[in-house]
Amino acid sequence: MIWWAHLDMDSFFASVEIASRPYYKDSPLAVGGNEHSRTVVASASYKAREYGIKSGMPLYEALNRCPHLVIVNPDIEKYISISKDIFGLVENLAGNILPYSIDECFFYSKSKDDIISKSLYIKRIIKEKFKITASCGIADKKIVAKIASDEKKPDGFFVVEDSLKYIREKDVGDVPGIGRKLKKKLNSLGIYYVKQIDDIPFTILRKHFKQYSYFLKEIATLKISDNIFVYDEVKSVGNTHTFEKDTFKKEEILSYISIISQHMEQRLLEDFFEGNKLTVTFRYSNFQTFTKQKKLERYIYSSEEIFDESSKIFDSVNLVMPLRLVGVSLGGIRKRGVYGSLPFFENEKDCRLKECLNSIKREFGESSIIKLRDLYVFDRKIKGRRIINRTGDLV
Amino acid sequence: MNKEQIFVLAYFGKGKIVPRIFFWKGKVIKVEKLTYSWKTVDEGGIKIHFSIISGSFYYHLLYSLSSSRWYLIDVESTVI
Repeated sequence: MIWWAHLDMDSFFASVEIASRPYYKDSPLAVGGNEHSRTVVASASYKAREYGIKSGMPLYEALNRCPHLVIVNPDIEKYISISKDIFGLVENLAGNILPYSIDECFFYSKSKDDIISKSLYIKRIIKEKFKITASCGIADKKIVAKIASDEKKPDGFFVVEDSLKYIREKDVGDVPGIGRKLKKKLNSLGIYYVKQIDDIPFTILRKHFKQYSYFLKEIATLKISDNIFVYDEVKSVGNTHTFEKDTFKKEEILSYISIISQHMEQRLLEDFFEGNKLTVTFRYSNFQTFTKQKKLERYIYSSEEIFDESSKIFDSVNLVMPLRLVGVSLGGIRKRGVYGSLPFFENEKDCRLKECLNSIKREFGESSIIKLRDLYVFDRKIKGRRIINRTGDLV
Repeated sequence: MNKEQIFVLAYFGKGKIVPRIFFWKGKVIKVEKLTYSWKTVDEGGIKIHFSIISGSFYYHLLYSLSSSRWYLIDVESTVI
């Protein structure tokens, strides 16, 4: 049997800010934009929660509830840095971390005693080293461990002995995956607790909840797979390239950005995706890695647009060391055609050219036809006595 | 506030960097409490951030490993 632990940092952003500025310890604190902006609370301290302030609430509403609320501007880089350090610690101590979000992760063990001792140790180290608390839930089902970590927050620790009995007594709204709307619909049918789902014939569930009926049934009987809370949906499409030799050369770097853009376009076209968040990753020769991100005003998918926007990002960076790796990824992914109008290419000529190029690539290989700006890469390979054969493979 | 380059007397050793004293606006400021530190990376290399309390002020200091320079990022009063 596998035992799961779900570790959840308590009001993570707010706790990190209080650890940095301990003089706010006794004040209600929220992390968010400034009071004049139209932003929302990203994280609220437990003192702030006493006033009914919670994440996602508009700041003006939070200030109405608590006029002396301390508002701290978010420092995402700081939270990412602390999160990475904490997850690194968990990985070292537990050996099998599955990060779920910036402040949540799972880990597992075959022994209940082992996972209990590891969890308690990890909680203690997080408190000592990072001056924040984490709550932990343990169960033999992943979904139950996640619910259990909320049981005794903050700084909670809860072990579920009988997962089925535990989940059946839960309010349906406590189950991850059952949001406000679904809860309301369940309540309207007189279902308030998980165990009541079992009282409803499946045909009725199917009628009201369609494909969700299977999930509800699995929850009620706990025959749900542990292969959940895994980020497997496509959030971004991208690629990286590690240079054969660390390089400062702009034309070489841009050539590879161009090739990556073309690979991305292939994938985006295949899956009918487009995206609006472009990230360029740079890794220096000493392995220091940093990224530059740009939110685009429109959704893109073509290699030309990806290349143009990536080049602008690249031009804005002042490299201080030769690069070992460059990467490009497009996030904010959505299905193309659902939101905008088809056809894919506004210009018919472009469309025909693109189709022609893609058919050549399909027939003769990726490298069979290249753009002039990519010549740098292929020229080097040919000069390096690596010959491209007819099918485009390097031989 | 914009980041401002400052001079800092710091201890470097045992894998740690600990700022002790810094100079700002003609004053010598003694680090009374180092409350937090974290690391970020950008095109300029690794930066180490320090949250410091001295007297009734909070200071956010930054040390750039690639340029070996110290910067003052933020100052705020600890009096609520």
